[in-house]
Amino acid sequence: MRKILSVIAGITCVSCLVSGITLMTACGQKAVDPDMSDKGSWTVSSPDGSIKSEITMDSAGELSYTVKKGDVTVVDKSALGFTIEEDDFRLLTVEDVKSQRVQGEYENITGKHERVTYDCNETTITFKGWAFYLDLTMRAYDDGYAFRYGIRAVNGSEGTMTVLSEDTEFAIPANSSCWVMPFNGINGQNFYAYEEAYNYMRSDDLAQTYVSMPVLYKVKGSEIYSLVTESGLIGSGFYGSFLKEAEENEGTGILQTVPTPAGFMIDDNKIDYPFTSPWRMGITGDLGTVVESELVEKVYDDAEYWKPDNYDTLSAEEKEIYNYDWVEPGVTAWDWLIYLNISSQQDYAMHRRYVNLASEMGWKYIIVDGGWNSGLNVDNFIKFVKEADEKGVKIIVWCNSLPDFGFGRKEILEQKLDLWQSWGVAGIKIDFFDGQNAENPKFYGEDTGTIEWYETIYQECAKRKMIVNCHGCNKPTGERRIYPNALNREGIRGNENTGIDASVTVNQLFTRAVIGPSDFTPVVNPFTTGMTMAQNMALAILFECGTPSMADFEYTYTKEQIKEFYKYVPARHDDTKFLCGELDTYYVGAVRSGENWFVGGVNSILDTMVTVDFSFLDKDKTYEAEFFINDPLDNKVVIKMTKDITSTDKETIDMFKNGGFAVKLMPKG
Amino acid sequence: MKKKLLSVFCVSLALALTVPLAACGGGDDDLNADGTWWSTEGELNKDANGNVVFDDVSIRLTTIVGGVDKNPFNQLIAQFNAEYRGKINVISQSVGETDFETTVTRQITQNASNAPDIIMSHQKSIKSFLDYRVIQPYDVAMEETGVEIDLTAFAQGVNQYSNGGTDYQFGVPVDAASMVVYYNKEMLAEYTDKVPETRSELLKVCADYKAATRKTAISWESSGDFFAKYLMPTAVLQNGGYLYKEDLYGDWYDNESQRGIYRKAIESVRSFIDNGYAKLGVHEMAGATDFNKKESLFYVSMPWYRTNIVDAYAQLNGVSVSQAEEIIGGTSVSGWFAMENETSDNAKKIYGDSHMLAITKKVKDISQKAAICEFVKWFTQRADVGAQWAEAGHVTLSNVIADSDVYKNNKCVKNFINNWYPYLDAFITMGITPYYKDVSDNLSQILSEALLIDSPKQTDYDELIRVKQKALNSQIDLLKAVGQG
Repeated sequence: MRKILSVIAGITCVSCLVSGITLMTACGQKAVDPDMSDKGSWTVSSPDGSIKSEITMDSAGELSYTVKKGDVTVVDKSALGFTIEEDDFRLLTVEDVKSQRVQGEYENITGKHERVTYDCNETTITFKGWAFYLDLTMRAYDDGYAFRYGIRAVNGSEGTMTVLSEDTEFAIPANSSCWVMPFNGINGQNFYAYEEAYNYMRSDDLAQTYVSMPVLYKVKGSEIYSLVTESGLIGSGFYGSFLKEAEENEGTGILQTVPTPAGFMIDDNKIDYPFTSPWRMGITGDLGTVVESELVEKVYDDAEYWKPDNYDTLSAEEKEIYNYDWVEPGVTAWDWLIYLNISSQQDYAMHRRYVNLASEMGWKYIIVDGGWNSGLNVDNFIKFVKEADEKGVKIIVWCNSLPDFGFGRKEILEQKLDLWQSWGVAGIKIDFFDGQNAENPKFYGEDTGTIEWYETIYQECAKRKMIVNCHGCNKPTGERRIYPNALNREGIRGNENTGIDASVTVNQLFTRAVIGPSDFTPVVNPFTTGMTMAQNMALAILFECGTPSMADFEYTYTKEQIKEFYKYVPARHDDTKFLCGELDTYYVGAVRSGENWFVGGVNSILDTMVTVDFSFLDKDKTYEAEFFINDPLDNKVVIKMTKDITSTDKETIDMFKNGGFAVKLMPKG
Repeated sequence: MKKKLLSVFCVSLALALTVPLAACGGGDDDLNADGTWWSTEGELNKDANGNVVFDDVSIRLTTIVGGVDKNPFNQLIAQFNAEYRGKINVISQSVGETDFETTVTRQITQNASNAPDIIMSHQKSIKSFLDYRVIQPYDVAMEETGVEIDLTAFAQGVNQYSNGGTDYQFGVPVDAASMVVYYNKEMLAEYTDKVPETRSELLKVCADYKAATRKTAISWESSGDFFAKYLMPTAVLQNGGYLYKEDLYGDWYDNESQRGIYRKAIESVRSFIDNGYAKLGVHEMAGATDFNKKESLFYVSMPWYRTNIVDAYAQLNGVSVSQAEEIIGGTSVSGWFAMENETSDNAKKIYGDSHMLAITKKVKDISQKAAICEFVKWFTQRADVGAQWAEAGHVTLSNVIADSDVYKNNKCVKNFINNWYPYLDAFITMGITPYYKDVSDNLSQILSEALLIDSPKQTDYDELIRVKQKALNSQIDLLKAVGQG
């Protein structure tokens, strides 16, 4: 962690702020105050005052919250709380209230911006049940709100509790427009890897739908959007959550957090305490605010990167591992997808062509995918790794997260990682967390066991200076703030779904891509008529991830027209700008990597003309710009134009149906 | 629906309990006084010109489309939603073929909040949906809403079943698909100056190719699900047979004429293998690879694999996709199995499945009915939409689309679709039977099992036909006995 600054200021401790406190009778039983007025309310405002969250404990002791952005209600009155077997949180007393401002700054190894400032107001209200405290921490940032729970024993003990339900609701205002990825189990089973499309649904159309996080909605009658998701799942000891209308709320748009439908869920409601839940949040504002936000990762504040428990006993050299300065983002060449039906992963001639491609393009990695180690000749493999290394290219190997490691056996993971590390392997692409292709796994999907297994993998890889690309996996929840070696993540409907088209990609950029690394595996030549080459080039820019996996034929990238573009395609994004766009329609964004800027435009079904305002460029520089736009006659062809561009320029571009454009801008002189 | 529920008896009993029966032994509580089971509520909002004004109307569509053509289908839905943004929004979900009828029938009969407003199913399901009274007629909806679709402007061979045997039109045909043939134009030109259209012409090409190369001229995915399911009925029909009697039973063995035709059907397929013109037990990928490696002249497969086949050919042979599209052509299995009367109408027949769109009983709101009619009209009358769907491997059944220049001039339609289905009126589906799955399963088993017999005699085929006929008719008896027929 490259921590720059962490300032915690303005801490106040407030107790007994509320007037109507639950009464205690002499025999120890609680009685409800007959006063029908609220027992308390607390307002948390963002530093700029635009976002306000109000928490209320009503006369019956029910906890709820609302969120407003300016005058617009973003979250209607929504329940808060947990129901656990060991206590009755329906009858709570307010024990303590603390408020503070949380401010600081950190640097990203990968992310949307090289440096991120976080700043929010936070209020933690401690409620007391019989034997447990329920801590509710609400934060208001300028770009959204976030809250989480803590549950701990009054007597300070540790143990296991049974969570009967999490009662959190997100009451989406009536008739809001939502963009939703409904749970749709793979092959009709509860295997799920977040690889469905985001489609428009009205908030009153969500009955009986398991809604994946993130879900985006636009409040009816406003230009306010809110992207609801969770963060901090790793380390929480909790399962991944979905959102669903309770039966009594069908058709209302009141979504409750529910356990993931993807997994076994055996004993997943047995949660260790003291417990801190994942963050529940809504990235809130106009579209640009949502797209550019790093709220999912900002809630980690100044968290340090992971270190092993025995860190203090390590040698100086060993300690350096946990600086994570060995974590290198880098473009990756990947031959599996395009050669799937043509060649096997034991075809070293093919892999060598991709090594040569990576070397020629200045890319950092290649992936050898599933099947690489079937009947492996170790000497040949080591020779291959060395050859690649001599060309400046590192090898990432594929593995199956469950059966390859005894379904969660750490010692097997350690053994295999040790072996692969000894062969010079730089990282793993680890697949099928969704449970596919695993017979009788003891956990999969987003079970608590799987979430813990993810963490074990990150840790063991970190010990060996290995990077991780999770595949067939769940959504990102800010993992790289603790494990920066977790550079990449699928959990997106990418090009492995070979029929993907522009109706899918546009909405992904407003939703899934907002919350963390997105391994879309870009190709150049479209697989379908529903895409164009120009859009594919744009997607190679716009989907941020530490090791973007270039998935087309090796000779595609070295064609003269596009070679220089792909040489500079960024693995590390230092700045991200949303320029314009609409859900379901089009997206235009800019990315800076070093001094170079890239602009990508992605269009959906209807022809769209956009004007790109280059005012985001450095005002003192002139940029040599290469434009790649659609050939109107052939979706597999782009037209390249070169011109000088400054920050005062504006360019109008026709993106055509399913089209797009890409621009590379490099400062002159 | 009911048929599928009872195909496997033990499963059927369990499932039957989960679906409240509205017919075939069920109650009539939901019937109107006139015997209908649909109703309409609300009023339409119309503009000064009398056109319906749609205000953010949601439609839930459940489709059986779920394979490689799911993405193109979803893109069409996205296009509709984009064009009708703020007016009509279609929420689409796929349910697999195995569960389709059970799922949507249960959702509709239980009035579940996620029950579909419109379904895109195989047309052969229409009888089951009617038995459960879960769909409602278009003609009534159109009259009520004023949104009109010319229900006669569809290929009659398929459209004749859209009424489900009633006086109403319950389904609007969309498309059809069957096994089709890809061929290598360059290679075929070495053996003939025309694409074979009759069995004799085909056999000659196969023989010449074998003589010149010692290779089989035909690759086909004979281990695939569709092989026997589509080719056996096609072979039966091309040889003048039928699939079941009007009383819905099979007399494949009892009727001596049919028995002979069924033997011919088996022989018509088997002879390709016995003569070394095609192989048995070929998996999907192996068949495609043989074809793309220029090992065979023809590849018999499904239409929705077109882009995969063209792309793979381009890669394997170092040509561009555009070049591959010129090298690979499409032709039909029409005539391939007619052992006699090669130019007869029967010889032209192809058996396959067709999709229809049907409004469910759930829809009562007149704005929703109007929106559904608008969507169906868009899907079945817009030329560019039909052309896009054709590119995904589905020939349109709409005459409005088929007659349009946009469709006719589409490269895929010209090179493949129109050649795969040269006689759309000779495209045969299962028709109106609740026992379609049993008929289909037993028919395909005849071929699958016959092809595995070493040195078969006529009596071997006869016995196989007898056993499968008996199995079919026993299943129908069972269904009727439990009041599900």
